[in-house]
Order: sequence, then structure tokens, then C-alpha cells
Amino acid sequence: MAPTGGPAWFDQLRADARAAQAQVPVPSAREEVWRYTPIDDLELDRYSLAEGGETALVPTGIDALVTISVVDGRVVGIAPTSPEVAGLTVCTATTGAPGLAVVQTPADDDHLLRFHHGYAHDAVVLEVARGASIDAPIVVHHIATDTSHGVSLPWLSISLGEGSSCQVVEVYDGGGPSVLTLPVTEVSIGAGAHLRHVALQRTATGTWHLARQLAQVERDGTFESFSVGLGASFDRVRTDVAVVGRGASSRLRSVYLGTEDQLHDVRTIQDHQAGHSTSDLLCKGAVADQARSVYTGTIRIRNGAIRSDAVQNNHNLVLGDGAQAESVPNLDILENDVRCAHGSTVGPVDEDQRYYLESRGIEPEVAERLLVAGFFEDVLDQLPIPGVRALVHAELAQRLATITIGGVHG
Amino acid sequence: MSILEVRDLHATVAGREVLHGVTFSVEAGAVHAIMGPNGSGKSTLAHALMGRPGTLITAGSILLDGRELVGLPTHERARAGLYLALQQPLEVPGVHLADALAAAAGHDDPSAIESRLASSVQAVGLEPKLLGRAINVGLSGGERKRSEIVQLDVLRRPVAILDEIDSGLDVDALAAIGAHLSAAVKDPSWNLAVVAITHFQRLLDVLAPDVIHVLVDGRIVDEGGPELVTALEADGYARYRRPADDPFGL
Repeated sequence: MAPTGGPAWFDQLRADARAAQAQVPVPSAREEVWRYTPIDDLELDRYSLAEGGETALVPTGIDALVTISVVDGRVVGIAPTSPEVAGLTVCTATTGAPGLAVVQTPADDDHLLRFHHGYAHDAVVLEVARGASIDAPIVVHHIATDTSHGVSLPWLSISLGEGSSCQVVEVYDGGGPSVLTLPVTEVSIGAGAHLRHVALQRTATGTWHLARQLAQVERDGTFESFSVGLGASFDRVRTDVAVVGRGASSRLRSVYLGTEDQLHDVRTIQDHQAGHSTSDLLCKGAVADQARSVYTGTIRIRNGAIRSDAVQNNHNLVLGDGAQAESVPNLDILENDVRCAHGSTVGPVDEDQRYYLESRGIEPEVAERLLVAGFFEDVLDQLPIPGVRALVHAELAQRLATITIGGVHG
Repeated sequence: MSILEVRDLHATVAGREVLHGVTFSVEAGAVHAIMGPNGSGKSTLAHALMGRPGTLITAGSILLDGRELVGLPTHERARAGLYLALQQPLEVPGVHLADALAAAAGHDDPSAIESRLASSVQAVGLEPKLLGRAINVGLSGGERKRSEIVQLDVLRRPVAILDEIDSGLDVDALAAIGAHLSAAVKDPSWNLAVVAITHFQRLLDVLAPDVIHVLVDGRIVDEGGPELVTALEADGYARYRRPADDPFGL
């Protein structure tokens, strides 16, 4: 079933990935990176590549500079058709891209990433030229068709030349009861360059959305990333950020809201390979009904990465007896002269805050909804792309209005 | 015209009885003060009236215009007409004052209460820009107390229980809030009833209470007019204490 086509280098890359896939075992919940997940239920053999049949393109709701529509990993439209933005190249691996973003592959890399690279139809390639500054969102709209046991393999490669800056929004739509999507986003940020990236996942109930983000940041470069997990039944985002140049920084934000029997699973690795680098992570989530969440993340500071400054915080609201949140922050520090801080909380809304609101005459469930919305306020204020704030606020508010609180359904 | 009647109220906190039968009543357009030393049960009384989780009423009655509030959840007591200004108003991150007040007043739309909010903020001398923040976030102690009064103003509940509203306020702020509350008490369209809980005289200098209730060890041990305040300032609460409570004769 392996797809072919496009330039020889891309075929070779896929063939190599398929060969490598055979060398590593299928993922298992016995591995730390898959702990707390139902990954053992995944029977990859039962899936075939979704072929992207007829799909109506719905607007993303974002005022974009360029919108690239991708159905089951294939580009079906670019609007405007030939965007003429100084310093921006939009193409795909099979239609003229010279190559993909160069990123390190983590040592513990798994079967699914290799499967993705081995079988993907194509990859969307965004290249920003040295010194170019692109100040409006480039939207990549991924749609997974509702194909029974269809697997969709979206692939986005972003390369920022030295001193450039760019805003990219990925929106994930579609999906269905037995749909698997394995999106991969590979990011290479050149010296002094700055990428603002937002991923909004709002796929249908039933979808398994197992996403990978791999980023590499050169000297004095900055990666700002904001992930929003709202849809799917199993929503996983693993983000590996390697700060490889002195003075490089990453700022990772993620939010998730779990309802019904959703699982949101956020894994992060803040890998400091060079000194004077910074990374700052804040991940906030709420789970209601029978939903569960998992956050596990590692700050890794390698030998020689002196004066690294790393922060990792995960806060969870658990809104009901049936809901559950796991939070496992880890430190792996091999250098002395560094600053690291991490924190994690799991619990219900603050009883005193709720009493305070109730003492004003606010019904308990309304008070709780206000407090849950308020819990997300500080992190939402940090969305790095102003043009998507209203959309993300609205999407979150719409779902918050439906969660069950104290036995009362919204 | 509202009347709050508290009858033989007993309440426990963490299994220990703190209020041993408190009885008093206050009617519309009146200012009552409840004074007492630290640990006498003043804040427990405030929370028992409002229905705070963990403050358990074991006997007695709280009647507002004849309606029994004991057993009602906090928000229903508020909607029935009670307002509690907290001694230590806490921060509520991410929840904006206008949104909370709109919800409290039963509106979906904050604009419904915005003009009232703006005029009240001016009246109590709060910086209007503080309204743009989440409730009490980044506010000083004094600003929080002013905000409690602003919220009372907007909600216009008929009975206000003010728990140590004077703490954290400077003299000018206290005078401004006192004058503002006195106007609400006299306002014929509101006729606010005030129950001011305090252990300092300075609030009462600006609020001019009609009746003083002295709360010691969970009981009202004395009642009287403003002259009682002077006596308390001079002699303290020692004369109300039973010898068993003060074995060292302090």
C-alpha cells in the first residue's frame, strides 16, 4: 500500500522510513511515553490509507494570508491560488520542494513516526526566506475524511531562514468513529528567527488523533507553540523541542478540555542542547464527565548547556467524580549551572472562590462554569497569534457550555 | 420593607460549636453593629448567615421577611436579599467583575449592569481601570473592600452583612464608604439594612449604628445604643467573660 510518486529523494525517504519502522516495536502502554493510554488497542494492520474522497471545504474562521487545504494528507487547494508573499514559498514534497525541514529525530523515536514517514502521500512545505517577516497567519487546514478504518497522515514541514519570522496555524477537522490521524509537524527555526505556531484540534468524536511536533531552534531563535485539544476521543500531542543554539528559546502552551469519555494526552520534551537557552512551558486542562487527561513532560539539560533556564507547569481541573487527570513532570538535568522550575496541580475548582461567587447570588453550576472559563483565561491571553484568539475563545466557550457540572448538563 | 430575624442560632465549625444561640434582628433602614473580641464567633456568624460550606447550623432560625433561610443554598440566600461583604475578599483569577455581577443579577449580558457599576465605582473612589481585571486580582486590601461595596451597590440587596469592612481602609476611604453606606440606608428606594461586624470603633464613628450587639464566646451578651461603644472602648470585653473562660484573670 506504500504510495509512490514525486521526486526520488522523497521516495527514498519513505522507503528508508518503512525499513526503519520494521526495526522498532509497535507502541505499547508498557512504555513510559504511552503510559495511561489505550494504545494497546491500536491494530495498525486494520487501517488503510484514507484516500480523501469528496469533502466539502468548510471555512476555518481565520482571516488568513494563505489557506492551504489538506484532505487526508493531500493538498486540495491553496487560496489565494498563487500567493505572492515576499519571502514565502508554499509547495509540497511531490510538487517541487527541494527538501524538508531538517530536524533531529529523538533517540527514542517510535514506530508511528516511521510509519507516518513511510506511507504519507505528500508533505506540505513552508519556507520563509532569510530576513523575511510574515505577520499574518498562514493556515494549514487538515481534514480527515470519515473513512472506516482510514488512516490520515498529514505532514507539515516549516523552515525559517535566519532572522525571519512567521505565523502558522494548523486546524484539524473531520474524523469519525474509526478514523486514525497521525499528523506530523516538523519545524526548523534558523538563527534569530521566530515562529509562532498554533494547532487547533477539533476533530469528531471517535477519532484517534496522535500528533507529533518536532522542532529544532538555532542560535537566538524562538519557537512559540500553542496547542488546543478539543475534539477526538483519543487526542495526543507529543512535542519535542530541541534548542540547539546558544540563546535559543521555546515557549510552549497547551490547553485541553475533556468531556464525555475523551482522553487528552500531552507529552513534551524541552531538550536543552546549548547554553543560555530558555524554555517555558505552561499546560492547562480541565476534564469533566468520564474524561481523562495525561500530561507528562521532561526538561532535559544536556552536558554543556550551562545557564539554561527551563520552566514547566501543568495545572488541571477535575470537574466530577468520573473524571481523572494524571500529571507527571520530570527533570533530567546533566549540568549544574542552570535554573529549572516545575509545578503541577490536579484538583477541583477552589471551594472558597465558588462560595464567594455564590454569595453574590450566582447559581453553583454557573459559578463553576465561570471559574472553569477563568482558569483558562491567563493561558488564552498568551495565544501568540492575535488573529486566532477570538476563534479559540469561542470554540472553548462553546464546549464549556456543554459540560456536566454537579449533575447539571449545560 | 425587609427585616432579618436571627433566632437562637447555633453553629458548628469542624465539629466544634462556635455559636451557642445568637438572637438579634435588624429592619430596613437601620444600622446594627455586632462587636466582639477576636475569636468570639463574629465571622462564623457572618458565614452561618450566608451558608458557607463547613459552617453547619445545628439549631435556630434565620428569617428574612418571614422566609426561613436555614437549609437554603448560599446563592438562594443571596437572591432572597442577603449580601455578605467578606473580611478577606479573595482573588478569583480569570473571572471578571462585570461578568460575575451580571450572572449574580440574573443577566446574561454584562452591559445590563455596566452603568450602575461605573457610577458606583466613582462613588466609592475605586480606580475605574481596576474593573477591567479579574475579581480582586492585583487589588490592595483597601481596594478589595471598596469593591465589596461596589458589588453591594450593583446588586442592591436589602440586607448587608459587613464583616470587618473597615480593616485595610485608610481614614479617607473609611469616611467615603461610611457616607456611601449611610446614604444607602437612608435612600427611600433602597432602605438598606446594615449589620456591621467589627471590633473597632472607628467604623461606627462614620456609620452611626442604631443598635450595638455584643458577641462574646458565641453569645450575644449585651445590647444597647451608641453609648455602649464608648463603654467598650474604655473597658473592653473582660466584664462579659465568665471566669471559666479567663482562668488567669487577664
